[in-house]
Amino acid sequence: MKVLEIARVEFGNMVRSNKFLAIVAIFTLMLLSGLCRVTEPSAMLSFGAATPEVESSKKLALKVMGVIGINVPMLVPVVAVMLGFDIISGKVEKGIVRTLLAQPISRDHIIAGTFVAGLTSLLVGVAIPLALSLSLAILLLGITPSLTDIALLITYVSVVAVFALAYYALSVFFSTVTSNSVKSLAAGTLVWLFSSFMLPGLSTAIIRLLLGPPKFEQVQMGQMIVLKTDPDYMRKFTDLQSKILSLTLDYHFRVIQDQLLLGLGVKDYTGLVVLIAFSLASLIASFTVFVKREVR
Amino acid sequence: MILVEKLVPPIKTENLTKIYKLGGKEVRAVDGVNLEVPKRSIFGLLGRNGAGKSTLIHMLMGTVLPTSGRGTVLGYDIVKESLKIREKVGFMPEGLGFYEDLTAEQNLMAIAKLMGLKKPTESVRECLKLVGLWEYRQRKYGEMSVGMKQRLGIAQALLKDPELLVLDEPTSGVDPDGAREFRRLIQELNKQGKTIFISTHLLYEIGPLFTHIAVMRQGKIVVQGSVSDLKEKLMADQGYVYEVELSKPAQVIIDRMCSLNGVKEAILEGNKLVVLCSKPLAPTLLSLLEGYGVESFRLAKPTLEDIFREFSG
Repeated sequence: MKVLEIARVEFGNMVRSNKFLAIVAIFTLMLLSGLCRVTEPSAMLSFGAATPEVESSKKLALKVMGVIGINVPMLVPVVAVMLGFDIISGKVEKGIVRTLLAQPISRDHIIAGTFVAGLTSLLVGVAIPLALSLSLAILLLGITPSLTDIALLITYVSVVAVFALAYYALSVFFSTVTSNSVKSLAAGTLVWLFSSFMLPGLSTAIIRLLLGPPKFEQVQMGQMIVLKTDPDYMRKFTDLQSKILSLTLDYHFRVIQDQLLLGLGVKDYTGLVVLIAFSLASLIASFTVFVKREVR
Repeated sequence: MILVEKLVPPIKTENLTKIYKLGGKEVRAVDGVNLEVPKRSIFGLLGRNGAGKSTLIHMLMGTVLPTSGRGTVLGYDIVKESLKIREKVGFMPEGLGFYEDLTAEQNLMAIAKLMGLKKPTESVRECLKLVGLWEYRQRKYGEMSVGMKQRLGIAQALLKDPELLVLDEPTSGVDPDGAREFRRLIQELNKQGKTIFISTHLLYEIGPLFTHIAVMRQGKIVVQGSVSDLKEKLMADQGYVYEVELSKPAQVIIDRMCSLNGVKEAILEGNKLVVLCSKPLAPTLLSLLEGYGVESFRLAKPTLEDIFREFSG
């Protein structure tokens, strides 16, 4: 009961904060602007049948996911880090932990309540912008989604929530270990920058060091001779790159997202399992660190 | 049971010790503390910054585990029954804070519900009135002044109507008006029969309130007892200072004074005579001063600051 009471107060405080409102507003607007591009006329010629009837028969959900999918891997980690970076350190810095510990409440109650509130606010922080932007887009564009569309979008939102949870848990861990919001924000942002921007580039350099420069073979195409990368080299390159990038959370999300974007549904659950396991491990580590710490 | 309750002091510790390891080095933050706080006293735990006051208080409240030794608060063991202690004791830790986006009333309501109070609304209203925050109950914590925040801190400690209040540095950052208001509140609560345990290094603000004190230095209690006893002890150790106002200067009296058994020093500055004695000599001095026009004669008692300075190092 005490856990739920702490969670209730924490959640109330979180959703009242300007930070939360700003995140929701920015996230909603960015998604909405992306969604508006679903019906943007394209100058490119479509191959095959391109009548309006055939175009509209494409699943709306896939189109929406295709548009949102560009922004989500960038935005969701930012939202998650922003929501989690001061969840424990902020409470320590503001003296709220001291006030709570002055009551007949143990440290595990405090952190468990904070987790519940944080996870709820995270779900709300991801779900509200998605639901709001989709609703607005549907209203503005006059499209009625089918049941299949809705099911597909719910699946997608759930996967996004799991991805957000992984970054959130990491951010909570930094917040707990450092007890300093600035350090925690810096650490969370660095991990995101490294995973999303630096490692993909660095991985190419690492592979080049391991495999040497790319090998090419000459292929006759009609009257032209083109250079084609050695397929064996390419296979090794792709394998190594996957292995390196699998160290990041983003990679596992992208694997699942790609499956969904291809309209196949989630066939390989490895990415989901990794994200959930990572989140649980981070939250358990944060819990242990917080419970064992003493007031100084 | 009633007899036991009467006999058990609100706070009692035996050889309480806390050792922290900082960079591979052991720091004895609290070192073998034996403390006994009498019931219904206003007890001041004095000491300079870093003397170990806050660590001792956190051990008493069960938020820091002792390395060795034992202690009880309201008869409850500080290690095994810490939640029970915090259920019964009103505790205001140093540097406490509340949710910035919630109002004073919302913050207290949240704590009242966490404590499982039967009538949270009534308790919150009563406490807000008692600390003078009723008019500001709708103000967000983030928009309150330091003094108001401190008062809210006291209000949360009073929510459970405790018989023992433990306040850690309650007046730090509070302006003189706030400190005066705080003194009034503490006196009122003490009159209601509550025992009040206050840790501070700011003597001039709340020093006059204390009935008992303990002075901490480098993790140890160097002296403790009732303020009056300690003043007597200090006078016995350092000497008794008599201040005499004469109607006219009388240099001749100095030699006679100094020849008395027990007089260490006598100084005459204009019409004012100061006599430092190793034992109480008031009747002897008065008889000696007969005929010299004594306008006033008083024993200068040591102040709390004198005790603090003497023992805190």
